[in-house]
Amino acid sequence: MNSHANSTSPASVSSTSLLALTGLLLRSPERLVDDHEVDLQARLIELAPKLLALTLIGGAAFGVVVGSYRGSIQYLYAGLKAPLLLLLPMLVGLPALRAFLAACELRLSWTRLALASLLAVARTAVLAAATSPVLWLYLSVHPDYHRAVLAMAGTLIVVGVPGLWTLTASLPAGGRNRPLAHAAALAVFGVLLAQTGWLLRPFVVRPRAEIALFRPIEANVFSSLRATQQAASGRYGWEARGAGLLGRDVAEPAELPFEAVDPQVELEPQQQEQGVF
Amino acid sequence: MHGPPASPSYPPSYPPAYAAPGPIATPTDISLPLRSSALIGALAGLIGLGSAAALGAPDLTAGLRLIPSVLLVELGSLALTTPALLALHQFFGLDASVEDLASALARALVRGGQVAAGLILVVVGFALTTDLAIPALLAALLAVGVFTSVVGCVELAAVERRAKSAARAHELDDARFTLLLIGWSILSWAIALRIGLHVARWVIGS
Repeated sequence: MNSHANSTSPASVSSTSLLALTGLLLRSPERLVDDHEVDLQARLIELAPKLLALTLIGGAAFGVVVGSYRGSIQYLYAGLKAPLLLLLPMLVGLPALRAFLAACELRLSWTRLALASLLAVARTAVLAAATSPVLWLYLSVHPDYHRAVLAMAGTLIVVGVPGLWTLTASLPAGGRNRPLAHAAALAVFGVLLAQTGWLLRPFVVRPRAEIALFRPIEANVFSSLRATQQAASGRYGWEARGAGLLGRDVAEPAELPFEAVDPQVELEPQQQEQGVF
Repeated sequence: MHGPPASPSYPPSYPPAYAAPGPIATPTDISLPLRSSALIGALAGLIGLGSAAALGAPDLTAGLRLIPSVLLVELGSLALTTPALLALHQFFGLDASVEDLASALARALVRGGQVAAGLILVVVGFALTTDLAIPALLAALLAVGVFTSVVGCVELAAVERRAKSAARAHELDDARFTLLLIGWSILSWAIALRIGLHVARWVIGS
């Protein structure tokens, strides 16, 4: 272990700069929770603003890069929404994770769970920011829209796995049937991340499409993926209807002529609004 | 340059970091009686999960019928299989007492209810923003069932092991008990599916 690693001990995080905290977060985040000398609630109080700041900065950097595919105001929109993409699934899925662990005889305080979750999200955001240049390089050569979406999703998966591992490693040892709890949590977080991405879309906007902060609440991520799959096999056309309690007043279904997503044919702006993310 | 080892602003009254709930989880003490508040909380969780899905119901009648649906499936399955489990357990001459077995199953119900409560927010999210409230409810119900089954088997094995160590240890009993657990699990799932189908028909009004 080098001198830098030793210089940032978990016990001294109250006076640690964001940069030093980032180093600790990337190197051994579980040490920030597994410090027997420190009260967890106090640690949460002092770390939460810093971890949220790291999440906002890292997520925003990733979002700005994703927004660069379209440019213009989408830099700002995607930069604002990307941190939410990381935070919302964790917020909604946390009670489920706690319940899964409780069912496996692993009783956790909300304080510990909140700290572990913030560490996981912040680490994911920092890693997302770190991989952003690679993504930007790819997006800068103007790949096909679907490839751009895949690149964004792939990057999120690559950085999300260490994030989930951080969450797991930050939880205490013990319990019974923990793999069951982890498998269930993975499924819940995966589905929540996908659906949140769908709700907060668009992130990647086609070059000539109209930019909007949010699309109407309609359909769901699974139906959009099925439509994309069908489009890939030559079956086009998809009606995205308003869905859910909040989206039922979206009256007019939008016919999506996927056949028009031919590289040789440009879509009308209102037709281009839809898409996977 | 770093500050003191720990923040000086920590109130001294805070419990240490590893006070309960502790870092090393300990299995439930099966000798402790189950609190009625835990049972009520579990039932509330099951009702809450159904209510969450009701937000996405197509009409009011279906929504109202969805509210007790999870509770009906979970409780119905346990209520219809517990007598068989208890009777066969005693018939096989196994060691745990009926009270301990019933308590183990109650713990499984409590854990299932906790899982249901934990999934409420997820189902609410899908009910508000998609038309997937019912599939989300089914997935949540599946999770509740899996956790109830697993916890039930683990708790039943724990009470049996404890009773056996206090009494005697026969190799044959292990095989019988394993068979009993497998049979109970299969019966529970089959009955849960049957009740689930009935409840589904009732909800959609056919």
